[in-house]
Amino acid sequence: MLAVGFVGFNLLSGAKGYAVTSDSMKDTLNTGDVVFVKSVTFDELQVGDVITVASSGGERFFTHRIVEINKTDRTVTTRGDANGADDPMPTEEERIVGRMWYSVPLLGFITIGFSYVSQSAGLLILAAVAVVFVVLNSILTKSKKRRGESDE
Amino acid sequence: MSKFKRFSAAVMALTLVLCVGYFSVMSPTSAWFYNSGVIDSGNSFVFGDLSVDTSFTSTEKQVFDAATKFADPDEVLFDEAIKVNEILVYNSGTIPARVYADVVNTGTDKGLRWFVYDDTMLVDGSVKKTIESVLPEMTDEALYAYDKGEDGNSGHYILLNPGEITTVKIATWIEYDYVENELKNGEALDGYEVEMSLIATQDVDGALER
Repeated sequence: MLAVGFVGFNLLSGAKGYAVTSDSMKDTLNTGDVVFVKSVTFDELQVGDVITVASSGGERFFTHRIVEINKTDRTVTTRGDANGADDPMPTEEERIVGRMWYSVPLLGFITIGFSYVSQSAGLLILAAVAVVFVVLNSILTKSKKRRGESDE
Repeated sequence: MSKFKRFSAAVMALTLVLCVGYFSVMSPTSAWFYNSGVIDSGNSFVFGDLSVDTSFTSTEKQVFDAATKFADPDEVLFDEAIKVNEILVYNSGTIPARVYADVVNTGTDKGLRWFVYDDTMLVDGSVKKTIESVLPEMTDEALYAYDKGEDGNSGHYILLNPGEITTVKIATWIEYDYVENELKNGEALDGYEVEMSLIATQDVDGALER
C-alpha cells in the first residue's frame, strides 16, 4: 500500500523521476538515488537550485546545480557539486526539465538494474516477480491454515 | 484459498509489478560530459566543447605480420611486431579535457592487446621499454588496468588544454600464445576487426562512460 501510495503521489503531483547513475553531485545525490523534479518557469529558478536538463536530442539527462543565471540570454550555468569546474556549455531555457523537488535513496538501483537487460527480459523479470509473489502468498496462506487446523 | 484471497493476491502481485515497473522505466540522469569519436581515415580526432549526446562507432580491419610476447624479457623484436596507430588530437573547445583511448576487437578474439601513449612518455624510443616503465608488472591484468582502469571504465588518459594539439599513439599487437597453432599452420593474422576510439571528457574523475 505504501508503494502504491508513493507511486500514485508522484504521478498525481506531476513530478518526473530520474535515476542517478553517477557521482558528480555526490553528497546531494548519490548513484542509486531517484531524484524527483517538478517543472518550473525560468524566472522561478535561483542560483543554488538543482535542476535536471535534457540533452539537445532529449534522450539523455543530467542533474546539476545552478551557479549562474543569465537573464538576458535566458541560460543557466551549471556545475556538479563534486566537479572542479562548471559544465562545459550554458543550458538554454528550453532544455531545463525541472527543479529538484526531493530525492529517495536506493530506488534508482531498480532502474540501473533494468538498464542492463533487454525490454523483453525486463518484462519476464516482472512476470517472474508476480508469479513468485502469488506462489509465496499461496504457500504462506496454506501453512497458516494448516497451523490453525493443528491448533484446533 | 477463498476466491477473495486469490483475487486480492493477484491484485497485490499486479500492484507490485506496476510499482517495480514504474521505477524500471525511469530515465537515468548522469552528470558528466564527453565526446567520443572513432578515428577516421585521416587519423585525426578534433573535439570542441563537450556535450552529453555525441557518440560514433566504426571498425577497421587490421592485419598483423607477426605475433609477439610483451611480458617476455627476451623478446627483443617486440617493437618490430607491433602496429603503431598515430592520431592527431586537437582540443578546439574552451575547457581542459582528458582524452581516453579504447580498442575493441569485434572480429576474432585471439590475443589482441593494446597500449596508448604519447611521445612525452617514450623511453629510449622503445614502446616495450615504455610499457615496462608504466606498468607495475608485465601482466595482462596490469595492462588491462592501464588501458581501461581497475573498473574497466577509466584507464590512462592524455590531458589537453584548450587549443592544444598532440599525437596520441596506440600500439596494437597479437600475443603469440593465443595464435601459436594458426602460425604453425601458416595462417595469416588477418581476422582482426579493430575499433579504435578516442573519448574526450571533462577533466574530472568519473566522467568516462563506456
